[in-house]
Amino acid sequence: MIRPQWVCLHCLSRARTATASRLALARPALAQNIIRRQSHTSARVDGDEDFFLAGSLLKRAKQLATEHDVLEGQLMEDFDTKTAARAGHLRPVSEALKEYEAAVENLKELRVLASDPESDLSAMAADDIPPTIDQIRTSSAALTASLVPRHQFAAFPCTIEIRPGTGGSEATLFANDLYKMYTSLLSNLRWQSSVISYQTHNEIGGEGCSEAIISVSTPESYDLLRHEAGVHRVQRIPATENKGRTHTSTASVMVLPKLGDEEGDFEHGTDDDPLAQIDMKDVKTDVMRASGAGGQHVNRTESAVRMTHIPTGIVVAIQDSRSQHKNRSSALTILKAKVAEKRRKEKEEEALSMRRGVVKVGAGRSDKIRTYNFTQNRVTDHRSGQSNHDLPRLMGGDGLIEMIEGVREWDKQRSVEVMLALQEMEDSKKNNKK
Amino acid sequence: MPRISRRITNHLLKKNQLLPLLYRDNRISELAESDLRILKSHILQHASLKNSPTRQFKYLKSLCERRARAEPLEHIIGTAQFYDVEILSGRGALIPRTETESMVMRLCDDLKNYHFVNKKRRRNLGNSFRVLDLCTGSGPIALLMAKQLYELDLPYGFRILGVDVSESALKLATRSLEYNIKKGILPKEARRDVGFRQGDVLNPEPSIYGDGEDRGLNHLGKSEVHDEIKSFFVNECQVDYGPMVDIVIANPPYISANGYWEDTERSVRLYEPEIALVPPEKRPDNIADDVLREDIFYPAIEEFATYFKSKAIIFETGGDKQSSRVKAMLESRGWETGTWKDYRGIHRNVVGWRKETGWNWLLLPSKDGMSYD
Ligand SMILES: C[S@@+](CC[C@H](N)C(=O)[O-])C[C@H]1O[C@@H](n2cnc3c(N)ncnc32)[C@H](O)[C@@H]1O
Repeated sequence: MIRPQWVCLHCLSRARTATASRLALARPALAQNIIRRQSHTSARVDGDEDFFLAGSLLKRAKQLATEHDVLEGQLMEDFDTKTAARAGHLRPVSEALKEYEAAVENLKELRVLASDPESDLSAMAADDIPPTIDQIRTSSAALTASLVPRHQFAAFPCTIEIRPGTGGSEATLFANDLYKMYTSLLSNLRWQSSVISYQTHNEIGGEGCSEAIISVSTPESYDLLRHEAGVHRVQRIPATENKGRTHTSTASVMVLPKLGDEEGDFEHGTDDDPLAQIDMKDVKTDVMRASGAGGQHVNRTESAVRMTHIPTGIVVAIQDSRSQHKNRSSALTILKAKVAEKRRKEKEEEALSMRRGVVKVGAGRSDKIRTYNFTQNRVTDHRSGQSNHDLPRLMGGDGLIEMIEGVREWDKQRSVEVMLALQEMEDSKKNNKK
Repeated sequence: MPRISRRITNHLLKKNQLLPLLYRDNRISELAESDLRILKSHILQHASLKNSPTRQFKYLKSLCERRARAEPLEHIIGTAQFYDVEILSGRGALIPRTETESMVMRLCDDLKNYHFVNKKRRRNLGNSFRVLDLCTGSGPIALLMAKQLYELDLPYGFRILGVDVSESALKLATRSLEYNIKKGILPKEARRDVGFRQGDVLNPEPSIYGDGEDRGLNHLGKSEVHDEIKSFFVNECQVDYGPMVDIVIANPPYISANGYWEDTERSVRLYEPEIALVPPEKRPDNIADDVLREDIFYPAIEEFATYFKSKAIIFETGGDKQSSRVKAMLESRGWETGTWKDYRGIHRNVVGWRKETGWNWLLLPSKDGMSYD
């Protein structure tokens, strides 16, 4: 089962306005050259009136509201912090649902009244219908927002790691371009960051970078920058190319939450997530260290840790803290989350393909997230479908935030669809049993 | 010290000109790189050096040169990160090790997940939860346990006392306590809840009260250290209910004389006090002759645990063989026992508990997956 984390509306809207004001601050003129491809994931609509909430979404909301009421009842009997936290997370759903239902009820009555020509009130009722529909729109948007899960590490700062991929020296040049792009972005956003590692060397055509690690200490930075993780692809004519051919190379960007030295609050931990359960026998822990007896015999700082989940091949390397145990427990937390994410993705894709009636959603899709086409002066994000037609400016950090916001929006819509799809899959399984 | 080959030097120089300095003591290029990363971020925190890259670099280089002479990183930076507390480090005490950090975290996680899960046990018969950390050094065990126990918010609180014979170590311990309070890592109440006292665990000084037991002074009298411990834990309004201490925990010196010369790192011998690592040659009278020199602290500490009716005892040891000897010693004295492995699979800890306490949760693997046995 998917275990989303519920974020209260308040936080969500706060986060949104925070981004908006950051935008206004950092970007006086919004890039006009964004072409938005029509989103290919939209919530399905039951009935012919588009302002009602999709049936399955409504069902999900009702389930959660019921759970909320049950929990509240339990809390009256016996207070328990965990129950209280869960109830707290569900409250916005329950409240948004009440508002929505009230508005829908209202509309029904108004329509009855309006359709009765005998009644003195019919004209008045007809006048009241449009504002009520608006109300339904607002409350159903709010309800949808309250259902969208927030990422479990959303509150954390992060590290960005950039490494060249395929393409030889072109790839190292591109890695350096990405490094510069992110440092400009960070300074535009006025986020606090420090460069942990930046390995460069001279290449024909400029400076190449074989590794760059940037640590961003601004809280919640992970929630935005996590959308940057993946393979970035470049298409351009290298300086060394004498036949004028365009080459394709890649660089990979990794973004990890920094669970760091101060204990942050998880939206919810991986402890109770069934998808995050892993057998420690499948986990290999590597610590950079000299051999020997350990304990009191050695006083070197061997804090960096690498953990591998053997069955999935997922690797997490952590060196945030000088405490090895801290790094090990962060590595394990992130490893569990990554394993869970992989399993969840598989499940989601199954549900989505059932819903869309295609063989497999995302089958064969690589994790290439964006292409930077220098020849055509264009940057395209493969997830949101957005393009930007001023590549130099984008790589100077201008216009990138809009692109990430686009991905974030895409991600949110997709989450809604996934939620519906999972619900439908569960329902159809139940029906099959009957 | 063997010379570093040209090839390695070139490889390191290509990455950063300071790396060869850091390679000298580390002998692994990834470790040298990790030192560099840590020293860099240390320097970036110096406000006075901000905006002056040349001075930053000069200072960084001077620190790397110190590290090249095998000075430990913690001494150079001034603190060790011990999970979520910071411990001041200096020549007067041992730098806390990651194995010790894991021991404390496992104990605290198990206390949280298995012991304090019900209200009755959280109440602890209306007493504060009491921990005695013998051979505390600069206090890492005591301070990290304090940090973790505050998070449990026990109804009657807790008390932790660290005892060490070394004055310089105790100074670091006391300053570390203040340092963590100043940084907001520990609350002010830690001044009341955590204490450090001087005392010799092997040869307790006779008490000025004499052995007072037959004179109705059974609250005092075994030795000065025992008196100190009692007066720290007992509050006046409490009647003697039995156990005076809930847990005795210790990471005592455990290296043999030979092991000191053969198995320890140069940096350890150069920069850490020998008294923290190797038990003294002269054994106390009450320790049997067949006990190996490197083991003598364990029975001595066990006597404290028995005297104060401790429910459990937790030891760090030098490895598999020492663990099995210590385990046998505890069993011969009536303890239920077990061992914990460290992240490398070495039997690093021996745990003992009294049968009637039912504390066999000490043998359960930790809930977060951070135990390795
Ligand atoms: C291995 S260190 C442990 C320090 C600290 N607890 C830790 O885990 O990092 C051992 C400590 O025992 C102390 N010590 C040595 N002989 C002692 C004795 N006879 N009585 C009490 N403490 C002693 C040393 O001063 C040293 O601080």
